[in-house]
Amino acid sequence: MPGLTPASGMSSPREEGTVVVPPHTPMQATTVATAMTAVRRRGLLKGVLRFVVRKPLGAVGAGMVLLLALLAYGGVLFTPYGKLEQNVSEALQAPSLRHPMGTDQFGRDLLTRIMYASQVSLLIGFATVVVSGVIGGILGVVSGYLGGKVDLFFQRVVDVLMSFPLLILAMAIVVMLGANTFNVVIAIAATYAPRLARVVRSVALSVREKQYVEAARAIGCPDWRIMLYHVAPQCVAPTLVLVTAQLGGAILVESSLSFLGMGTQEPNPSLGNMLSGAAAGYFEAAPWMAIFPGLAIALAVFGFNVFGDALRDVLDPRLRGAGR
Amino acid sequence: MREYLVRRFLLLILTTWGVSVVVFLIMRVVPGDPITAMMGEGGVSTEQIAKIRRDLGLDRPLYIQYVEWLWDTLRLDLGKSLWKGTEITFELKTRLPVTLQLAIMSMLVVVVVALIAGVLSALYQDTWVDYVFRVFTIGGLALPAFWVGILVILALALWFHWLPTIEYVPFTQNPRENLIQFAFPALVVGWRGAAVTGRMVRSSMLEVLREDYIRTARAKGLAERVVILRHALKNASLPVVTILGIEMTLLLGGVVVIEQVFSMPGLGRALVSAIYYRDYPMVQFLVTFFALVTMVINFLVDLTYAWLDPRIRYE
Repeated sequence: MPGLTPASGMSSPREEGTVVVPPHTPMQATTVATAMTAVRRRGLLKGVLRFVVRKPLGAVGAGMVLLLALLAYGGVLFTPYGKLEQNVSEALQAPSLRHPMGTDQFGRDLLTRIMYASQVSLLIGFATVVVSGVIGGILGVVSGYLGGKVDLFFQRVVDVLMSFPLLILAMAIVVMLGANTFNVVIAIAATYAPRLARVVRSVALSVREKQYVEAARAIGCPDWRIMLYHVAPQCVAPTLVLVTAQLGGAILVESSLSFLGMGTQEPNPSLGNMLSGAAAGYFEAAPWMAIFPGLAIALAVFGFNVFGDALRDVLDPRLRGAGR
Repeated sequence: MREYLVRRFLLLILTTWGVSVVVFLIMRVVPGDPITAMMGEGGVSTEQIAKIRRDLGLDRPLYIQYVEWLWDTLRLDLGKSLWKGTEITFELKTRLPVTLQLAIMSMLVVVVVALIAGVLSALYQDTWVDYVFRVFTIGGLALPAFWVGILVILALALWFHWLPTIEYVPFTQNPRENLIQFAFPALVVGWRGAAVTGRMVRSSMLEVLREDYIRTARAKGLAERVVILRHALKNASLPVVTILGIEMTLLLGGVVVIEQVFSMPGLGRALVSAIYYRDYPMVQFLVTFFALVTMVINFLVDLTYAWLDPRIRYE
């Protein structure tokens, strides 16, 4: 441990996800990896079944996410309305059979708009997690394995990035790049990546001391090869667990950004921008315009949170039986 | 302890410097010319643009701009808002009290609710108290604060025909009105933190309550209240402090959003409109400000932690 790293050296839960991850000690993280390999050997289907039986709540969470995805990507095939289709004669209608979630001030069908908006949310959620997982993973492995000056430098960069409140850093980056879907992904990923890097680093630090890594080094394996084939695979499982837990958070940040006008722009719908701007003036006359988009966000976030928690409990044997 | 303090303080300074570089760069890499973006298309002559650039010092090399900006900021000469033309220090003076009060009241909500709910649900594990608490935490984590805020305003308007006062009322002028004005936003922002922290209090308490010394305390005939508050809660508070620190920094983000929902004239609202109007000096200052506050909070949390747990400072 380099001398100047009190904050990074402690394994206190420094990351700011929506879900609080208990302190990840290196040892704990490798146990996750072992458990993961065990699951893989048992076969995927069996693993899924076991998960459903042992963690019914987690399965419900996964089910909710699937339902939302089905609605978002399947529903749009069946809806008779377009996402921007206006029909002023049917403006501000209450939920009915024709419009299950009512219509907005332009007579646009809310259910249809929510379907398209959910596509954006899910896409941004997953994309963010993949991007931050890859960047955070690479930074963490390199920093933890190489150690020394590289580590010291990377960890200071991480310190700096983690000094910004999550939402505010994301806002600043969107300002810099301009408000569109792609840039929002970059912005949210950039705020999550340092937090991930820190956890992955702690895993890499412990893997570095393993005998098989020493053996690889002894037969003259280059560093990049050791990192890629021996260290990185061990870091995949803990990263996966963290990342699932962060999906809900990423969707929340996205909706907050677009609520503040820094994401998907009108007239294209997003769950956040449907709740702000001109629409906000009609909430008293048409409360359903306020209720349904928020409900969709809550559903997605709740689903991912519960699923993420259950996944962590299953993959991390040390947490089994403790808490709930 | 002193050595730890010095080390941690040096790190704080290093990080602050890093933050200043990041903020400065973010604001300079804005694609296109900020001046053109600010003035909109057409209607502005090239001479005018050149003059503004000169006034803002945007025509000089990057490192000189950086050093000047740093020097000005250190002297608290923050410059003027591009959009409103007011001094940024003036904006800070008028808006900080709003944000500060909102943050303090939300934090109060977090601490009070988390401690009471967390301890109760640990004591009455697996009873209806516990179940209600769990629903409360799930809600706090999944429901976006801005949506809850909108629903609260909507419900108050539809059922009680009551609208939050638009005009900000300082505490010194009318304490009652002021507290009512801040109560709802504080509750909405605090919910999330209360849920997360409460969960930590609960699990930490459950762990501590199984310890031998709790049994000993009970066996020697101490009142249950003393056992819970003095023996259990005190020892259970260590992990809670860390979570509280994280929640405090997250709260800042929540405050930015909720000020927008409740139309409160605080720093968060200023940041959102500054971004909207591309008021770069203002954005630059506010982002730095929020980052500084976060760093100081983290610093204090680390110190508290080291003070509570001697193992950390000897590492």
